[in-house]
Amino acid sequence: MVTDVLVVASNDMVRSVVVTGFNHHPELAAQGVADARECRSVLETNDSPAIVVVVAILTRTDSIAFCEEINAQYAATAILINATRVSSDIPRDIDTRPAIDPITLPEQVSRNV
Amino acid sequence: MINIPFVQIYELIAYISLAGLCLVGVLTLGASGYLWVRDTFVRQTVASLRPEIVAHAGSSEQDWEAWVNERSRLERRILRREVPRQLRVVSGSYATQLKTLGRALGIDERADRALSARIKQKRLIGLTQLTLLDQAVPLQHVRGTECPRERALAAQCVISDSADIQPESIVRLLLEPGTPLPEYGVYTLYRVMQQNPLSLLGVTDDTTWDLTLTVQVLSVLQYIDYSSSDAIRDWIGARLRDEQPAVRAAAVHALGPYIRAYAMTPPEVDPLTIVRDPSIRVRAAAFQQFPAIEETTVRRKIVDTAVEESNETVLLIAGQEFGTAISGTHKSITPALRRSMAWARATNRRRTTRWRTPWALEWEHQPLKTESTPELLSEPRPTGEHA
Repeated sequence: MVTDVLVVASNDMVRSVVVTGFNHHPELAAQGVADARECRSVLETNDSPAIVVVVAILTRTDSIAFCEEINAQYAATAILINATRVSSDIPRDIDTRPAIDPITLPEQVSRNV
Repeated sequence: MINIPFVQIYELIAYISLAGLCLVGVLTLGASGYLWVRDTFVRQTVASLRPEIVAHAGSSEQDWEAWVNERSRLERRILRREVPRQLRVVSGSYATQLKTLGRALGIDERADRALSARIKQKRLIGLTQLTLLDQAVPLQHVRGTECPRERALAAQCVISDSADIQPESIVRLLLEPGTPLPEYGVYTLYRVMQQNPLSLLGVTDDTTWDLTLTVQVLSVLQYIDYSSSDAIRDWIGARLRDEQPAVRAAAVHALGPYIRAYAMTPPEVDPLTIVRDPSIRVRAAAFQQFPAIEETTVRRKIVDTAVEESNETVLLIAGQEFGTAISGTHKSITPALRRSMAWARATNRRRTTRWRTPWALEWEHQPLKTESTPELLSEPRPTGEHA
């Protein structure tokens, strides 16, 4: 069984790495979108994905609301990945890394399917 | 002598200008075209390499070295830029693999060499890359520098490296120059002192610190359990007598862990002197920290002082922290205090005016659990080591 996954992440790098991780998993096929509007337009097509993975980096509150909207209005399960930075006070030199592991993430998602 | 007509001079200037304009246009278009081709090539190469990196996850160091050797020189160059970029956005086992790949690409060796560069920017890039790769940096490289960012990054490198942490060396590295730390340096200091609060003592005697640095160190102590150390307690006590209100206020906040541990202030500290301090900041800090005091007589005197308070900002905090105690013991209170207590009841929130620091945010911003986002959302953040 191959399950479609839609990755919503505004950061290009994060989106690309997460999508690559999902596509490497034998049971998951992923595509990425940058924002909620693009996500809605994909979900409104006939072959909408079964799972929507929302990567929340800074706007976590909005992301929770968006996940709730997906669960309520579309035939898809939304999963929110908490990738919030510790603090925006930390300079960009180093700590701009969200908590995403593209190797273990697909395993976690497939267990939740 | 050649006689050039006046009109021809103007024509000549016009032709030269036109030719110059055309040349600039051609160069601009050429440069844009070159950059477009280069960026497209880099994007395509990166896109083709990313799945390969994920596919090789789980490889040993030797396998990565073999994989790197199979890549072309240009691909290796692109990877040397790509790996640090990716390390900023990933964590866990994939990040570990990327670090191994980074070492196979020789990023750490290049970063080591950059530490000896004369240009500060290069040294900072080298330190940043070593931090991203969790590689050690010899402290002598940065001991001489006066740049706080460089010292903070070096301290972070030493921590990241790991097993053999020498807290005193790191604290000395951060605090010895006596100049203010960048935010990241404060966080690093917190991480070191959390492991060993006594590491602070080696540098407190022989250094004249900048006011901001003193406040930064005190703000770190606010989140450290130092309650068993008399020396740190004495050091904080001495800061309570500082002439600067900002230092005194920070020292009162720093008393927090001791007060919470023993439900009283240290014996040599008189809480009533603090709540009667001329500075609003100090009194506000006192009313934030003293609710944990349990000794009845002292507590009653603090409440009496709160009732006599005239500043509305301080009253708001006093109302929030001591509202119940005040309404239980005092029938007649000022309208301003009544308003503060009403506000405190209405908002039903404690400590609205706390300092915001990275670790405080870390505690306050724990993931919430909701029905719609069941499993993954409730998991702890897996970053761990750097955040």
